Amino acid sequence: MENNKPFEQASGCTGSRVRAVLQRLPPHVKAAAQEIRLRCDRPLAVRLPQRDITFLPNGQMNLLNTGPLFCVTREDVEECFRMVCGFSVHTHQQQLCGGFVTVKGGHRVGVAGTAVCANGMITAVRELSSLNIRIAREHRGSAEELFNAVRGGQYRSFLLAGPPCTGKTTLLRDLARLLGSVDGRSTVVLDERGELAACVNGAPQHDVGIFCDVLTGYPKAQAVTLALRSLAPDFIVTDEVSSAEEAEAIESGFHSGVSFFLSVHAATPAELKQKKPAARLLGSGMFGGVAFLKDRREPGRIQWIRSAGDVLGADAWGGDALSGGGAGRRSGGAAAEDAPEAALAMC
Amino acid sequence: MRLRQLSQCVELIRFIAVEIRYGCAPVSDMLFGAAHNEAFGALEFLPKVETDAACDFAAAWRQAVEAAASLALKREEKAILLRFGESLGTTDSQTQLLLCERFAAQMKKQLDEADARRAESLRLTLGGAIVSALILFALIL
Repeated sequence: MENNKPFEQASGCTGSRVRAVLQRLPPHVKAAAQEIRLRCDRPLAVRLPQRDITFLPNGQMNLLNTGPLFCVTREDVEECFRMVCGFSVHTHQQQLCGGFVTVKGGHRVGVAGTAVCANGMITAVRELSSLNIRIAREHRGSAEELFNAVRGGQYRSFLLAGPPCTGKTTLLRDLARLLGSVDGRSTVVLDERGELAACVNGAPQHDVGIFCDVLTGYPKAQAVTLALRSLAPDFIVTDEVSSAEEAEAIESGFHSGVSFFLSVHAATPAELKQKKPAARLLGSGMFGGVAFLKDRREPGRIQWIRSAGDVLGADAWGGDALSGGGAGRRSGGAAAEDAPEAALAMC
Repeated sequence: MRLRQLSQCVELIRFIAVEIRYGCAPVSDMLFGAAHNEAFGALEFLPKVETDAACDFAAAWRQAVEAAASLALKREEKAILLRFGESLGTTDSQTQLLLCERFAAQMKKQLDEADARRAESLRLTLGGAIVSALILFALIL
């Protein structure tokens, strides 16, 4: 039942009509659900690791996704949106312009609609068309292997890479918990989007360790400077580094003696190298290793780990480094699809 | 009583505007602040809204305002209050502030008119009393 709590929490944000349907799902489906999708005038869908399920008009679960289906109305989307915002849209304005709102429990609700722009910046979102509730789950222990390797490598900075929905945030959160429990060291979680610690009224909704401070909502680049100035961290954990400004701040933090544990959207080393901020950080020599996550069918599972140097040097790698056994693997780099510990040790 | 309630309604809208402008405060926090503030003691529906707002704020506001027996406001004044509650928390902060400004102005207009009517009626009452006293004085003489 405990496994269903995140689903119950996330489905609680939907309006009464949709909630009634979602609550009828069997426990094993609730436990496996990754996303709840509400799209205007289209069927209500729940995403599982390997497939989507829809509902019949009477609210029963439908695995075929054909025939007459239970559709989400505009009113359902609006009701859900109001609940997600706690009936205070103005409070979440900045988050909404960033595309999502984080709700109690750390669940992220993605918002799609029509953007209102002024001076090239998104200032508001109107005519909502769909909402995507991503169910956050705490997987205690999922990062233990990674943590052991990081500890073995004297807590050298580490990068987590993977495509969306592969559990980067989940793994990073568990790593934050483990780093935040290291006696004599201080950890700071930079939770720009409120996903890692998911603080509500100042209290983290997820366990991030007892020696951990959380900066919620701060722009990452500023947060690094602020944390260095006032919180004296040994480790900084943050997710989705995406801009040059952030990379610059992180690099400067690294030269102040702080270890960084970051995530980035990239499925392969080739993709990672295409991302300028990530490539810049890897090139700086501050990272000990890079872990690539498996696909969305096994969220939070590390596919393989390489040393940062191997990733940078893997010029010949194509889009699917795993299938072909590219140059990085041939060169005997730290690739270890089946034995991540060995790769970790080498990092 | 009506004048006091109208004046507190204007103050309530201004209070909410300040909370939005400087703290982007969620509606629940603003309601909590207002419901426990003696300055809004005449608006007895506020604690009721605060209790019920967790499910649907707009519905809780409407029900509380409509059910408030102690609310001595006229129909059009109640309508302004209802529209204000229904608009609260539905849009971005800039629009929300403009709406607050608009509803505060509408409510202030009602307050000024009510104040003027009260002053006029006081003046008439006083005038009538003086005339009556003079007539009575003349008759006695």
